[in-house]
Amino acid sequence: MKSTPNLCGNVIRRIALLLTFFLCVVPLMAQQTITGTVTSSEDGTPVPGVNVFIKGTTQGTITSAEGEFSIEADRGATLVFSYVGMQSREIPVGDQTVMDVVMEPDYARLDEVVVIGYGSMKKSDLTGAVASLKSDEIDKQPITSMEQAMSGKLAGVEVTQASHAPGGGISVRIRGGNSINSNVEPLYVIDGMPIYSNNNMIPSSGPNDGVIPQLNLLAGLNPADIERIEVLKDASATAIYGARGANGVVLITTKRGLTGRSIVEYGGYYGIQNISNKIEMLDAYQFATIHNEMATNRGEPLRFTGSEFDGIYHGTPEEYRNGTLQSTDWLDEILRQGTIKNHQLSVSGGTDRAKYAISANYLDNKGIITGGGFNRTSMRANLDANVNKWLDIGNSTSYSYNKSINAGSESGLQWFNGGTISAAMKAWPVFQPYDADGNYNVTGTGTLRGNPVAFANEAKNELVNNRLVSNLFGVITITDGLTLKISGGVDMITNERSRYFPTSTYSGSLSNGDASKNFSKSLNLLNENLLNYNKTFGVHSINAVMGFTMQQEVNEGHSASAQDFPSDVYQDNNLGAGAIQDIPSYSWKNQWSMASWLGRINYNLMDKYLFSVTGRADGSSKFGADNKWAFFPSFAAAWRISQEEFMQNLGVFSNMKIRASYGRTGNSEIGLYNSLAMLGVMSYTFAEGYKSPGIGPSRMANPDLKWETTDQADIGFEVGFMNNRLNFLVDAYYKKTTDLLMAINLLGTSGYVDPGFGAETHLRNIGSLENKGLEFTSNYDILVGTFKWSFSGNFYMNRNEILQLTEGGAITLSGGGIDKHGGKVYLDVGLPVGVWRERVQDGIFNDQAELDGHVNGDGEPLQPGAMPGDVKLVDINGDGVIDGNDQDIVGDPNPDYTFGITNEFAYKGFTLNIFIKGSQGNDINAPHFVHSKQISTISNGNLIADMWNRWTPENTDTDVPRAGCNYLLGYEVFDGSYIRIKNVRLIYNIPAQNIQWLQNAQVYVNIENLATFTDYPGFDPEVNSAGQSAWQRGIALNPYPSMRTVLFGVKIGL
Amino acid sequence: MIMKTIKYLGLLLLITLTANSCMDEFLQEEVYSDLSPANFYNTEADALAAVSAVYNNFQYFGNELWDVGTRFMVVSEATTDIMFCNWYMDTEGYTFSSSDGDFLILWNHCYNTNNKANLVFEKLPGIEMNEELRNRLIAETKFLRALTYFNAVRWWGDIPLITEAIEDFSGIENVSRDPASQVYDQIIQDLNDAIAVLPVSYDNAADAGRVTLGAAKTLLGKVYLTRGMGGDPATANASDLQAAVNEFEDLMSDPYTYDLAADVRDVFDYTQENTPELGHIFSQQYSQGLGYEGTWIAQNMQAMELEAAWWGYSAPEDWLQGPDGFAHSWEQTGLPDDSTWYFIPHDDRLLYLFEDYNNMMWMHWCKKWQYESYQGWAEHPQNFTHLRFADVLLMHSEALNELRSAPDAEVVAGINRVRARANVPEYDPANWTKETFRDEIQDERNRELWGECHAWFDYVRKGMLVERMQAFGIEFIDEDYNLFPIPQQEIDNNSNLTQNTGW
Repeated sequence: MKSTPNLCGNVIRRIALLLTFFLCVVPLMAQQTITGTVTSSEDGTPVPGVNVFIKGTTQGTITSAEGEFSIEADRGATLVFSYVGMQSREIPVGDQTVMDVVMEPDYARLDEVVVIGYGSMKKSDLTGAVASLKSDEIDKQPITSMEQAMSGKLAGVEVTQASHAPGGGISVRIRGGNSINSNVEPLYVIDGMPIYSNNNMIPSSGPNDGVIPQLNLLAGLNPADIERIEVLKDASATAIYGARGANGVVLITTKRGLTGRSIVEYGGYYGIQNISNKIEMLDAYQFATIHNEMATNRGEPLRFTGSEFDGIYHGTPEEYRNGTLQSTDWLDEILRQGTIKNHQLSVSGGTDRAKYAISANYLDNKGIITGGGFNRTSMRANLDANVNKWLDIGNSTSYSYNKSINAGSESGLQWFNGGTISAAMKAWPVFQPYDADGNYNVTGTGTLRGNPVAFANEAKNELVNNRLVSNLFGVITITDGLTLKISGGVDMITNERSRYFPTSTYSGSLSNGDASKNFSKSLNLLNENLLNYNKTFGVHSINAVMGFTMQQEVNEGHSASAQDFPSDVYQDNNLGAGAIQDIPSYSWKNQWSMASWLGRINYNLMDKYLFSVTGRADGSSKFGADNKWAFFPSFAAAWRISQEEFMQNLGVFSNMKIRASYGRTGNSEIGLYNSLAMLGVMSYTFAEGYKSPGIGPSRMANPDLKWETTDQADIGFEVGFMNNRLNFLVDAYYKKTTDLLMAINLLGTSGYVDPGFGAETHLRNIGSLENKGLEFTSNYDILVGTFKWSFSGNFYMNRNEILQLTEGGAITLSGGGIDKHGGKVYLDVGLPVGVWRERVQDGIFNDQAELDGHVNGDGEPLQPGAMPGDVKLVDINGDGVIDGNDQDIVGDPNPDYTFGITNEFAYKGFTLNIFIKGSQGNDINAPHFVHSKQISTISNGNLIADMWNRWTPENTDTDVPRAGCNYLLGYEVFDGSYIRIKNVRLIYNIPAQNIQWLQNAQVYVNIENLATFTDYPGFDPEVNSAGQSAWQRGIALNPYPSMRTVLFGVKIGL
Repeated sequence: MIMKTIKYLGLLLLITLTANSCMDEFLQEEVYSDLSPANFYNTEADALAAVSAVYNNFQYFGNELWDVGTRFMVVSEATTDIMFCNWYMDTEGYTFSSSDGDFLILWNHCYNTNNKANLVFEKLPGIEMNEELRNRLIAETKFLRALTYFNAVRWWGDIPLITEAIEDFSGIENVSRDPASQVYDQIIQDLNDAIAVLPVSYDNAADAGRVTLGAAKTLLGKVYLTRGMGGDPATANASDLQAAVNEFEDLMSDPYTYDLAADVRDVFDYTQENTPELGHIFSQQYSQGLGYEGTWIAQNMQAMELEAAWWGYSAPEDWLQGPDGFAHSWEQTGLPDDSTWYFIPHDDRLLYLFEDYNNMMWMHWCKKWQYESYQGWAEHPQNFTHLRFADVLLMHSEALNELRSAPDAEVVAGINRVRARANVPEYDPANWTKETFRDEIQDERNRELWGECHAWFDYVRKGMLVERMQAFGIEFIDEDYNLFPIPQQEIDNNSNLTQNTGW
């Protein structure tokens, strides 16, 4: 290994020699000093910081604060002037010594450098579909997690909030979902470090049955640190990420120090949050009335008669109406006005040799459900140093500590185990949270068992997440244009869930205190070695990268729990104090590793014709023994038509480019150990009392198991007018995913079918599906000058269709998972993933005549025993009988299209930014409404207020069935379309030019979720309780209500 | 410059190539929380555990969680005229079909057990361990595979004979049926292999429930008897009868100590299990208080009062209570109206068969499977008896009856020992012909072995299924019913599998 530094030394010496040579040679040529001033065509002001360099060389300078420059150049050379936001200019050097240059603004910033996989390039040189978000846009929303920044802002990117709880989970789909059984979240790469984003690693809260992981693993990353986000969408852009590229790639670049600009910045805001749309429930009078009516209709004893029922006094409806007895609005009891506050302090700056950006952040979001909340403390240090002529080093390091306090939303239907929202919507309004002594009513009757107030206030369910993401790198300059970058990164996560249900809660009262501790950790290590080559030869320009990377991740965890505590004081801090210790304790550990070769060549001919070839070979431990390595290529070409003389002569188009790409990417999220044979424990007693361990095969190997493969073609067209003040961008894509991981029924003769469970399945790569879509983006600086108005909008539509499933055809996904998350998903060829298939309702029977007309061909009633006011079901298959076979697709969670519109108005120091987003044509399946919208039994609990408009012989003009209806559907599906004024911010930039110590200062007022237009009756149409699931979308399961946030903030730069 | 670049690239390549040689190791999937063949089958303890896992499969027989035992009972006894059962498929109306889950579960159980056994044969020779122990463990497993295939070949006839462990997909999707005769050859081969190695008994109390030499010989005798009786023409072999008799007679003398328990109830007393002197030869072991090591089948076998309850029930068919059944040795007393019969039992077996023999109509509480009361999920300690000495004695009489022209003292010797223990009159050979005694032996087997999953096998072995079931009222039954249908799901997923005639 000793030869390496020697070799480096040699190279350095050679470089030094070469430089000396140039320095000696240059004066021999006819050189002259050129000076001048660069001004802007817009307002004639000088432009500081413009890059001035001699074309084909690295020699250059920067304009001063007054826009002046001075450079030595040969006659015949060409000077290039470039500045972000201005169109580059190239001016040949003749005899002149003064060169005053006017630069035209480029609103589309085609010169901007865009980050791509393992490199960066000028926006104008892109051949793939890459969408960018910059910090100035990100900063205009009070987001707590960085994925929220992309919501509605980028065409082709669908961001859905799994939970509106503070710090709640988020799922992101780029150009539709490419899988059914695997993870479909994009790969996130932070400063070159691919990081873990699967929220499933967060330990669930045990008996809080069906709770979907609420904390978002990415919530630990402070959005204020982000300089820019690039979303790689087409295969040309993502193929460099190979087996992890199929779901798109989100590249996050954090802020780094800049040479010569030191700044201390503080940003902070404080806001208040209120529920944006409360669901109104029946009051006690209505509840008692409806339930008496139900009992009457069913011939059951009346409950609310002013006497004891089940040993508890139940008033008459009148007693609740006239106030003799109280009515409780349980949602009000658990809701509060929430607060959110955020402090951000950062210091950045640098010299030619060293640059730094250091920041710290504290966020505290209490949320609107009593007892819940989220807080984050994070810090970051990004450093860069130029060590010597051949070596640059740097790092990006962040650490965060997050604490999420579960408020009990997104819970399963077992309300008494801790779903606060669930319990609040079910609890009977005729009961009170507290008894006469001021203690919680815990063991009351009916659904009061899960007193939501007791749960919200007393139950402890906290998740603490620590995350360290650090990446160190060194860049060695080997020769002119050739560099080697070696980096090593670590992403370390720990999660610890602490739960205690004290005796004041229902489940705690049953177990006399119920505590658990869950711990998980993940360690992800990365090494990357990248050779970069950049060279321009006349009209040819080449940018190439080649590299080898290795990554390994180890996950482990353990869990322990106990019940029956002598005192509530211990909480979860002394499990040993619990009398019952045998509740499952377990631990686990797993690991995967990946090694990859990657390469890309971008070739630019005359700045007009752009070509790109990419390839990556990935070897992954997750793949079967016979499929260890996968190769993913892509090709792309682009033609900058606007660079052609004939187009420039037209003088209409300031930019026009057409690009096309094709490539293949993979999804390696096929689960760990799925290709391996497994053994299970099968013990036996050879005599009474003697147990002997037994170990036998439980799963056969699948050495062919491999990634899911996505082929994608993309055509993009972009055009700009008026110095790119007006831009349009259209992309059309087609993706076909094959080798989908599907579960196949095993033959019994394989020997691996567990005799007890009947059908044993085995994962194999057999299914396929497609996604195709269109993306439109437009930016228009409608007004420029003193009063500015800029518009940006995007529109996105995706169509998803299953092409092949198992040999068996259609699959109804039900069972354990679905019971928890609700909604029966039906998969079949020709359908999009995620649709629901159920019995179909055609209104209700308004009168006896309608009922009499509802007969089959033989004149027999289709719904025997039905009464007016009952749900009218449709005999879908026309067999004259209504039964479980009469099912049809009743909803589709996939939107027809989504859009986002941002308008910004600026006048002097004031800026008003309004962001509107929407989704049309998607449905929501809300299992929790089955209980609160269907009057079938009193134990289902309270009902939403709309049910007051139930059918009665006097009230027949309604679509709400009668109380105690005989025929009910087991689901509630709604149109989830919405348009929402998502965010409005008014900013005032305090003039800082005249204050020596102040670089900038602004104050702002922000309203989030100002208004929503939707027919969906739930809390919020932006709902997706199943989180990152690929096949369960649009499911609302006791979700956390969304909040309207009003906040005030300041930013000061010193 | 370019040369230097190339050199540098070369060095990089060298480094990465070196790295590449470790790549296979790097991309190897390391398993920590689970066991896989990659980190198992290394030690003597592993070998013991691998064999225990094969035994474990028979535990399914009595565990409601997996329910194989109940389905075994449904298919092997409720399909006859001696047991009523409202579990799973329709055995009363005899309208079961290839789609009934009972057959699929038993099929899956057979091949699951078989594969575990095959894995033992493949892995144990590679483990560094005591040679004697290795050979014994393999011999035990051979017996278990033979027992599994013996059940399967009797249920389905020609079946896929798979003798190698299956570790991945290759080759399993196109398996087809092999002739039943080949399956029998394999069974006999396995049992002879086992007989060459197995001990008569185990010194260690903790090994009491393992397969013994006597168990292998009993099963071999039964296999010979099955072919010898010729119920299945495809495998009939009359010369096997003598071979069966030889095996049974070996078991009646030294070194074996098998005997009949003086008190029939001791046979099903869980505190005295695995005692050759009480007639135990091979039983599926169950224990209580060790966590799911007990049986649940008791719940399914003792349900008279629970008739309307959720778990259904199994009971003797009504006729067994009559003169052709146990009642042939009863005296009818009391008030002989249609609803309530009172008997004075002469047959001691009723003492352990039924909770309340005075009121059999309403108390079919099978005490063979009952241990005091409910013990919790899969916590009943009674063993499930596969082979016991009374069965050997009855089979001995059965085989000998076929070999002789008429019953004689030797023919009735075995069956009379069983009857004497039950305190019922012994048979006088003079009263019987070969044919009538063949029938009578079966009736005696039904009385002695009721609820132990023998009857269907017995009827088919003797070619009397059709006759008996027709007499019982299942008039449409024909010879096709001597085999059960191959599970439909298996046929649907494997085009090489054919269905049995008539199904």
